Amino acid sequence: MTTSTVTETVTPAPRRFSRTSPSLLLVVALGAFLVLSAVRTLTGGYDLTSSGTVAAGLSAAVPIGLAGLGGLWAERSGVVNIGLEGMMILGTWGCGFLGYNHGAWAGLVFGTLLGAAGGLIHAIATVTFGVDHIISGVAINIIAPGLALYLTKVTFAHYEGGGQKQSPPINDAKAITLPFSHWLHTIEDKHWFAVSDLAGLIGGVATRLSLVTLLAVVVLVVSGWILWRTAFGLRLRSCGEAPYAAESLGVNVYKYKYIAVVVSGAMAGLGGSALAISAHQFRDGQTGGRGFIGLAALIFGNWRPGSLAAGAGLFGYTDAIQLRSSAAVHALLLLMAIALALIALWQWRTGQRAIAVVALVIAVLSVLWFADTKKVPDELVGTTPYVVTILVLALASQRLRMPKADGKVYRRGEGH
Amino acid sequence: MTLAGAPQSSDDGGTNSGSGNSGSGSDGAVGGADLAIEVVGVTKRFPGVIANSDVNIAVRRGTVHAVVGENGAGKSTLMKVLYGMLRPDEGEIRIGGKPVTFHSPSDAIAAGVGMVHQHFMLADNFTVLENIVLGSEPTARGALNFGAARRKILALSKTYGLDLEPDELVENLGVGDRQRVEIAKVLFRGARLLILDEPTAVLVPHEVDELFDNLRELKSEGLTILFISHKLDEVISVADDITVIRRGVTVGTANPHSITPRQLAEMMVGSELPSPQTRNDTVRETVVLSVAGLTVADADGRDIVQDVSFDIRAGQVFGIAGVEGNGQSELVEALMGIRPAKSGRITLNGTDLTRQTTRERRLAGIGYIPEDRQRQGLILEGSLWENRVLGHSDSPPNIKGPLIDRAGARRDTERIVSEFDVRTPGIDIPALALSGGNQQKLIVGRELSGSPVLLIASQPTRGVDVGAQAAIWEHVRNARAAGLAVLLISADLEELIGMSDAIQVILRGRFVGAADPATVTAEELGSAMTGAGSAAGAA
Repeated sequence: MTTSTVTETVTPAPRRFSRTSPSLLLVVALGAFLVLSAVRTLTGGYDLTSSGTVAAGLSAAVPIGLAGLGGLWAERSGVVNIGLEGMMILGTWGCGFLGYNHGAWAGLVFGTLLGAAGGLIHAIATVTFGVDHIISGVAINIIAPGLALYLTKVTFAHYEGGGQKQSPPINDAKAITLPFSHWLHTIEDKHWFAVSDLAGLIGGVATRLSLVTLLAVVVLVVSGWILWRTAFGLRLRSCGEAPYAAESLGVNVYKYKYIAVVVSGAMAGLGGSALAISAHQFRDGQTGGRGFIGLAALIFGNWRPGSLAAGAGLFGYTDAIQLRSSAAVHALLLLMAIALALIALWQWRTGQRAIAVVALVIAVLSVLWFADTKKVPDELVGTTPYVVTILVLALASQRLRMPKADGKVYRRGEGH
Repeated sequence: MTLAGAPQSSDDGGTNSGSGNSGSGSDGAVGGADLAIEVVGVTKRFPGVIANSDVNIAVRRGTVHAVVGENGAGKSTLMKVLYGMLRPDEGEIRIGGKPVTFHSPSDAIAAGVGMVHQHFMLADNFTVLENIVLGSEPTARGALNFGAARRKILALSKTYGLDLEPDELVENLGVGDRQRVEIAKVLFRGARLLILDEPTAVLVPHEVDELFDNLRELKSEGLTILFISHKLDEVISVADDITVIRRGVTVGTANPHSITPRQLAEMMVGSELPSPQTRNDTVRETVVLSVAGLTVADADGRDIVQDVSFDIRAGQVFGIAGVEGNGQSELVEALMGIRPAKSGRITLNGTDLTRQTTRERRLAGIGYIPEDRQRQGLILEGSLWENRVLGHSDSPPNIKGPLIDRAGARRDTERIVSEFDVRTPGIDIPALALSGGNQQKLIVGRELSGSPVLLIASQPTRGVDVGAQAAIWEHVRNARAAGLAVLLISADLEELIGMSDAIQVILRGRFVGAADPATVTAEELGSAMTGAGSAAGAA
């Protein structure tokens, strides 16, 4: 008889991510806020925490966050949606088309529907015909801007305010301002440490908060709830993790993938609409790669809605700083150095020595850069925020884990 | 335990003639009432193969019923038919005496039939709870009711002794735990009949014991278990009834209490079994492989193989015995050039190979049967003839000038298929469509092609049925007689003793003693492998 006394190699399984406790999050947020205040006070880069920056950052984050959310829906069901950018473009055009004479909300609905139509094309290609997800997505990214431009020439060129490359102006969506916001601005202008910064933060949110922004937050929370708290969401996510296991339990994988990818397109279309509304019109090339940035926020956010929103917020914030003042961009260098130093410390403790060293080196370099210059060269102001965000996200994220069957073509009955 | 339907014990090595026996047997004598499930005359054809032909099985309620057969005998197809994944072309399935038709697994689940797949169908990134409830989630006010699910799972776990932790991620679980999750999945859906497809193939011995305890627990709760396997000693220890399938046909039933593994094996293969004996001495003078002072380090820099020296002569099978994880895999990888040697010398027919690449070593005449055929030996999605070229893409018949010679490779694949009895509908189908034993025969055929001088065979018959095992032994024996040197590493000590001309025992990366295959017993070898009961137990 075989005496196969096999020694078991017991690897102590580390829990992947125990869900971060709320109190820890609060401490981190408080710490970040104090660092931010300190840097603002030290450098005089008042726009780091001004209400204007916060408001602009919030509205810049919305399209990116919605694109990322679109990616979340698709990729959790196992379909890579690199066509988010194209679907967003469809959304911007759709919003422009109905927005200029029926109002922002009609535009928003139509933009969302057009985005969903883009998603449907992607679903038909990838789910029904088994086309490679990247190829289908790239095709959509190529077709969408051409189609939007063509339709613009056909429809908008003859209207007042419209043109070969833009729609007539869209009316504003409603915005709400809380009653106490004017004295928040008074406090903000005193430039007291922490107090003024807090006033700026709250003031930015409380002043002229667009309902579209509010809608985006609701959509994010509801998406997270559907995907993680309902039976529907569990089945949808199972299609992205183990489609053949789902199939063996009677889940109609095709159906869930279709739903997910169409919703994904709708989210991207909604993001495009939000972009058009905040710019008050459709313009050619308006999305400027935000669909891809949303995808990056999704990936660095480890395919989770909360971290995805944080990533989108970071992009929006740095983007707003770049638009508002180059002095603040200079201060951003110091802020990044501090953030990277903290990341280095944390990564070192979790055993990621190489990442820690890289983070520390970049932190030191940016401190030197900050100390040695008075301002960031104008040529670099536009890109600095993106570089900063990518660096912070890339170095802070650890053990990224995409859904296991993400991007794989699924055929019913071919599991092994 | 005797049976109303009286499956004949086959002490004479004979069988009930399969065709048609259950038509009269099960209907007449037994009646549908105390049968959990009945398979009557089921036939399933695929293009080019008849996977099942007139299969008849009667499973009594509250028993463990084993279906045994070689790899490729049609067991898995039959199970897929039972679970609604495939539709039978002819025949019917009766549950509780009534004919049923399953259009999908959902129908089977609704009828109380559950399947535990051979390859686990689990999402690694989900918790145990999520995996179990998927597809039949309890809900409350639109949301998934995690509380109710957790309570039900813990209750199941307690009743059947499954020891589940609902909130643990599946990726953190060992193989045995995953299998219990699979079992819980079908129980959660209220299954009363569990189909287990080769459940022990992936388990280590103590996990097998735990599984069998679970099965007895399930049986005592009144559940019925259909157990598919080709491991005969296990079948005999756990089953109440046995049905044997050979080449898609039920060849008979057996009583596990009166049949020996050898008789059962002969029933399965349909002929007398060969033994792994190599019989005559073919060892020649010429040293083919000479290894001197070989030390190999693992990723952490520890010496996992230490100062190993040995010679293998032409016509000699050199066996290495050892508990898994004592450096065998690393030794083989170092010989193949997959892992660098830290020090020492490897010589093949007088040429120093120590610094050569894997490709150069293969060209020098080393054939290699890797221990994990699916991960290291084949491209599962590739066709058979493409797999034939794999690793031999530098030599005829696979190339013509700088190009792949499709015709030549295909012709030679046909030769391997017929010489090595690879059961396949054609050479253009993907390797994953073959059963494990046939995949292994293809690899053995490939590695014995092109007249190698040395064959490194790592677990050459692991997970293959007795028929394929005998065929592989026969081929290695013939090649040995023709002067091939063989390095054999096997966890099957009978195989090792029967095939080898010399045996060395490896423990913690060192050779700790030689054994004479002519006199040593498996028990002696087994205790030597663990350090002969001294303080130096298994690593």
